[in-house]
Amino acid sequence: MRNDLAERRSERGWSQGRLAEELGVSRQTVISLEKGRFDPSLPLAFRIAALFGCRIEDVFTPDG
Amino acid sequence: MALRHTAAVVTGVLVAAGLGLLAGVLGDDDQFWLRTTVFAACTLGPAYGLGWLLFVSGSAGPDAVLHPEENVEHGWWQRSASGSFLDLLVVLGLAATALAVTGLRLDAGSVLAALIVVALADVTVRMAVLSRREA
Repeated sequence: MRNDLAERRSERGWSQGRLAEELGVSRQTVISLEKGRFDPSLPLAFRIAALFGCRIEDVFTPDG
Repeated sequence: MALRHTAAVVTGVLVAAGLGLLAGVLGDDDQFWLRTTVFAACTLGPAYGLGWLLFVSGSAGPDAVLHPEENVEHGWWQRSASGSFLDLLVVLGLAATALAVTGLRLDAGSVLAALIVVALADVTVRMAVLSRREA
């Protein structure tokens, strides 16, 4: 699953560590999310969307 | 945090002492203290690991997170453990077949120790591969 998490994080001037702290997950999780190598659980996806004030489908796009 | 580490150490010491005493009581009368000391010393490490797992793991330290179950590392661990379980089933099946065919008799303690080593090595390698591939 592709996402624009890195762009949204950069817009806020946050580090990966800061985003991880905001989401309550490890920094490695944020790294893997941004690279599209890890699909988040639904609760985590909802927290990401809430944090950036948008819908889940605004952040995540299915491959293909 | 210090309290949790203390609880882990106390748990480790108590469990190791208990196992040592049990081994001493169940063994030869004239070697009570020797057996108790050796068993307690040998189980101290794993017993502390148990205490660490119960009181420290995922709940303390600078890297503790609010939702550890949603970490990518948690997913790696789940996949590694389930893969290792299936590998262990294959190893057990092959070993049981080999023993049945050859009629060989093995010491149960050695076999169980070997299986623990195989399972730990398997899950470690799987974790390493997954974290390299998906980090």
